[in-house]
Amino acid sequence: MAEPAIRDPITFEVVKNALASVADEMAVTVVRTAHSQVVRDSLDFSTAICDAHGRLVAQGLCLPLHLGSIPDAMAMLLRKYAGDIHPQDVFILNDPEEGGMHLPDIFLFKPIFQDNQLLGFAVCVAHYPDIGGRTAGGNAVDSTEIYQEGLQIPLLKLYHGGRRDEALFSILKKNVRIPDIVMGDLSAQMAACHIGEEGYLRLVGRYGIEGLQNLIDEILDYTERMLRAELGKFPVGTYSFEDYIDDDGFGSGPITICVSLTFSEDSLVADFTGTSPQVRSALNATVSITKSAVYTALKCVVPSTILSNDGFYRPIQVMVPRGTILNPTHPAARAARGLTAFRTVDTILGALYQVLPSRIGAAGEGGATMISIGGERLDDTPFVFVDFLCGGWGGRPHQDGIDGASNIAANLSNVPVEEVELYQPVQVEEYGFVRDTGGAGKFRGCLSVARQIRFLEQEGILHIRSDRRRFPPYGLDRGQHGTSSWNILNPGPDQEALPTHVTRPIVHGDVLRHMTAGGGGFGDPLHRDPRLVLQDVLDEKISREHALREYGVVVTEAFDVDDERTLRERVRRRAAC
Amino acid sequence: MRLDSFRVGVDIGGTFTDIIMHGSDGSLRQLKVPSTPSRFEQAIIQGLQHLLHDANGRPGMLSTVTHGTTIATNTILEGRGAVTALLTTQGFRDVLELGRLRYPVLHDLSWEKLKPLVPRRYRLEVAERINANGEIERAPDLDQVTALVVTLRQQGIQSIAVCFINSYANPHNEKRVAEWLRAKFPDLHVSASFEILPEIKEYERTSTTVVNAYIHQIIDGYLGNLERELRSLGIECPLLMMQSNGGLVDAKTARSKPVQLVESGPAAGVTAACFLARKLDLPNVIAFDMGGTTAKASLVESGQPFEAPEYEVGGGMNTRRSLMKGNGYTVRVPSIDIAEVGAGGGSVVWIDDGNAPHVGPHSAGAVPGPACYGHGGTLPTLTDAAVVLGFLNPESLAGGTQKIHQALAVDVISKQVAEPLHLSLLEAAYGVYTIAVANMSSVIRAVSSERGRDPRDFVLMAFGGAGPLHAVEMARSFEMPTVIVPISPGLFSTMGLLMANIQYHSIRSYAARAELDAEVIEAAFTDMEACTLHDLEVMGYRPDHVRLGRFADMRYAGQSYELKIPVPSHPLTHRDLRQLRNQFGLEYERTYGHQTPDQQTEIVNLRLRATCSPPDARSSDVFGEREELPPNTPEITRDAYFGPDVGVLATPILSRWHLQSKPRPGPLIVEDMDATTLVPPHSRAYQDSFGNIVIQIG
Repeated sequence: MAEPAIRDPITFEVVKNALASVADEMAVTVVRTAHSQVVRDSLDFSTAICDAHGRLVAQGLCLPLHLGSIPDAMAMLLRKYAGDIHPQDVFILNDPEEGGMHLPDIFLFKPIFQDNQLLGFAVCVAHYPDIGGRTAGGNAVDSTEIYQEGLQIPLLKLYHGGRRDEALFSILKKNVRIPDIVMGDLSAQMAACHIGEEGYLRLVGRYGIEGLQNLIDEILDYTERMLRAELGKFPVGTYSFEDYIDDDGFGSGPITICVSLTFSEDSLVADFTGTSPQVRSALNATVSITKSAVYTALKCVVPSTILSNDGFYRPIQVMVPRGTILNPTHPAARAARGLTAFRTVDTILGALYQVLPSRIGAAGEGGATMISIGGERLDDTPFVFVDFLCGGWGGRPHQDGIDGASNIAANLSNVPVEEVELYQPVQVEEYGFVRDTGGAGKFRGCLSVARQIRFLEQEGILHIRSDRRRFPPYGLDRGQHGTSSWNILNPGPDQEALPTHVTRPIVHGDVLRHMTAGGGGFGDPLHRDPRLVLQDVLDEKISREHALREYGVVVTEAFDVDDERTLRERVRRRAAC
Repeated sequence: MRLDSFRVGVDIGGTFTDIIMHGSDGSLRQLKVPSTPSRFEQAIIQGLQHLLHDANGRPGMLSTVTHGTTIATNTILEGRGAVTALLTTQGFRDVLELGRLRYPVLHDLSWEKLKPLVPRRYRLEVAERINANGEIERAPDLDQVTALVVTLRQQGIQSIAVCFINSYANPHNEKRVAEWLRAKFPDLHVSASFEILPEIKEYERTSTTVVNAYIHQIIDGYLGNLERELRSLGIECPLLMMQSNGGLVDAKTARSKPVQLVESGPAAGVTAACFLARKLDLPNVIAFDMGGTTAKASLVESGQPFEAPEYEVGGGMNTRRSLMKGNGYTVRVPSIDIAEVGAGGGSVVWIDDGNAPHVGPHSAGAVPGPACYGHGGTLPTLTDAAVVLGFLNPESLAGGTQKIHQALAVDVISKQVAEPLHLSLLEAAYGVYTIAVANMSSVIRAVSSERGRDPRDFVLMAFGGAGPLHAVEMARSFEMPTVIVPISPGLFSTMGLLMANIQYHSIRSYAARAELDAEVIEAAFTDMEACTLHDLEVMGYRPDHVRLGRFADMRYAGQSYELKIPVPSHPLTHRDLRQLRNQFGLEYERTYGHQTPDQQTEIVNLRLRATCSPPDARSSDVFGEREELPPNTPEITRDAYFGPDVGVLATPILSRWHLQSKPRPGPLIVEDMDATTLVPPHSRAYQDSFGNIVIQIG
């Protein structure tokens, strides 16, 4: 073990926790004051404290995929506004070219001053339910240029020394479909920055400007040291993996995400060479979210005592060739980049599995499906319904997958059915698991989750962003892949299977059924404990036929395991392969 | 005053049962006995007999028995509830298991979601539907329901929960099914969601109803036995139960809605703090309760506790943080807002790979306990550090019942903390103490600054076995000026049982979208008031003794967190509603730092609270004025270490009764039977006329 480089371990520990709790306090403020369901229930936002150099010091992390979101934007701010950052300024940004991610994600930065000396920044990024553009919700996959996706906000001052930029406010208000909610969320972000500023200044008051900066330096170095030590435990070498997105919605065919992870003594290089070129639709990502995907996957396999801050980034190099879907050129559309980021995490975890076969599980549902319906009510008031549908986790080396859980890359919640029905022009007809959909394995993958909604207004535009039909979630170590995801319009004899990416009008009475993909299984299904298979049959998570076909387990009509026939069946199948 | 009656408080925990008996003459008797988990009521009965004998009293002299218990919580934690089924609306069988999808810890690939209390095989769908406007789209087919339940009974189902979509808007379908089942299967318990929680959000309502159905049998059986045993002893007085919100209900109500007892245990301590705050006329208090494994904090304003609308049970620590969902079974029942952190006397000290020290959240527990207890503990704990520092008595604690081995404490702190950190023994021990104080500050923050309250405006009231040892440094770190340590800090929680009021709550869902209509709201409140007063009168509480409080859960349109705003009790007018909106805006600003007056507000629920005093409340004043003579022992000193800036000081050791009304400067160590109070340098302590230690900081 390295010699302790911490001068005063006690103060160090106290300040480390205090900084984290300032960022957490900011996050709590957002949740409690935000107006849109996306922010509130999906926790699609993050808060952070950065030091005067713009280095991330503590993150109030809600969405793992935001892990790397802030540094690039922060760096741009310091470059663009060098010498022009003043007390009570507030900066706003959503432009991906200047460090943003996609247009619905709005960043707010509040510089923190004491006696005219810049000490740091309180930062908050949140996903807005609408940012204008050609479709409500700003998530459409079938946009081909960023200009279609809504209002682009370059890094600008929203407040100049405490004075509102009325022009900017009125442009923002004018360009969104639901200005009240957008303004409500903006004030929630403002409140969070205010809380962050206060908390940081309290620490400055206690430890002094220089004292606090020294402690922050130590905290960042400590994180770097911890991570390097951890990386040193991984076997040196290069590990590659590929995973796929079905299609860009314009018939591109399979899109490859390819990563090579190279572990050397105390560092990691993640190289995405081999990834498909940028696409015509809005699935294009950014380097910042690709970095986030790397950090997210890595955080899953290192101890939780290693914090999310600037020190964490230092031992990691992420290489993303320009012109690929992960690093596209202007004016690429990017609204649906979330899907690409989910797949990037699946890909990195697949590569990590080769290094840590006893830690990493099979693929989960592949990320939340986004369904939105927008339009106008009979009284001309607009509505925007945005719903994220989660499935669950794939089978793991020592545990089953999880039925009904948010993806490891985004800790989303669901919106209660009763609130959907109260506020939106839809009735929910079903929300539950679909039998026989989890990938078979010694440890079963999660079941598909179905949500079926009936549209109650006269007309609206339906958007769906989904995937994992052609390339369902992978199994590992002889586990089977899960089932494909589906979008069905008007289920029944005349039902229509919609593609994975949809933009189309719907009318009163139309019924949409989405089924998420089933998770991949882990390990040989013939090694699954027959008692666990029986439990799944009793819970109607799998059928008796599925038990026999996939697991070689004979469940009798009286719902017992026939041990003898099961044994024979399993011996026969093993001999066959 | 004559001794002609007693009030009794009984607090059952998993390990110990605490009983206190307060006589009408002001006498206070207390007893701690091991709990008897197979028949919890036995420890109570034996303890009561013992105390009555000791006081020369008769069973007929008991005027009330007030009871707090962790049995409901433990039933869930240990999975000992009834075999329970759930009837849902067609299409919604999996609402309970899906939950809200969120995981409590990020980046944990081995997370295990809690198994639902009702497995999928016992969750069955009924073809029925109410829409969001409360209109019946499809009535339930009762023959289908019968067929389902007959099958379930054959599978051994003992209890059944019913929760249909939109039943908050119109309970008709749910009510029909529940009534039908109760008539048809009289020996089957039925919990219907419209009776348990008539509020929007299907998962929260389902989960709460299921928890009620799951624990019903155990609580009903236990309280039935207890009532019977009390009667056979000749005790005929009312048995009152402490609910999660700190109010009392009669045992009959508690038996039908046991879900309200889930947080019964910790509520009593806060109730005591509320009472003492009123007694001392302190408008702003933070109650701080620290024991062997956890530290808890809660806000007490104007002598009233702060309520949390929901919490999760069965999943470890509860900081009541909105971001920490997914860790337990959701119970949406108003409870006292208590923030909790895994820090107590038994918290284990450890060093991570980066050579940074941590305290907790793992605890050495009761067995083996801290190393210095000499029961085989080999890991350094916070208590060991306190012994090394000289804060705790180096020979024994708890009036001699717990022996202390100072050498063992020195050994673990020096080898496992000081050496790896390259610190001296005392520096290391003081570091452990400092980190523990810093860790616990999260609970203070959760109930103060995160609620928009400035902790500097609050007095810290410290109790529990370890609270008084850490309170002053905690207070100092928040610049709180005053700490109060009540008498018998270790038994303070149990005493809360004697101070609680009877409290009944009712709730009506108010269609959130609708315009606020003063007449409709007034009619709903009037109806709720009439029902409640009638119920209470049946129980023997005269309407003119009942205090009624009206509240509305309000939010800005589209938000999903509400604030509870008091509503005037006179017939409501349009002007009152405007006033209500203003008040909401003010409370919102107070909590979140801003308000948006042009934004539309909505009411989600109407709530009514009815309170009255329990019988024989005149003797409830446990914290009367008192003066006891200090023990006639010479004052001694002990070396104690107060950090690198101060160093080692010869610190006077005394009893609480040695303190006078004139402040005496620290350092001082005050040793009570059940707790040790640390008065560090730069603070002063005195005794007030009620026997409380008051410490002024700075």
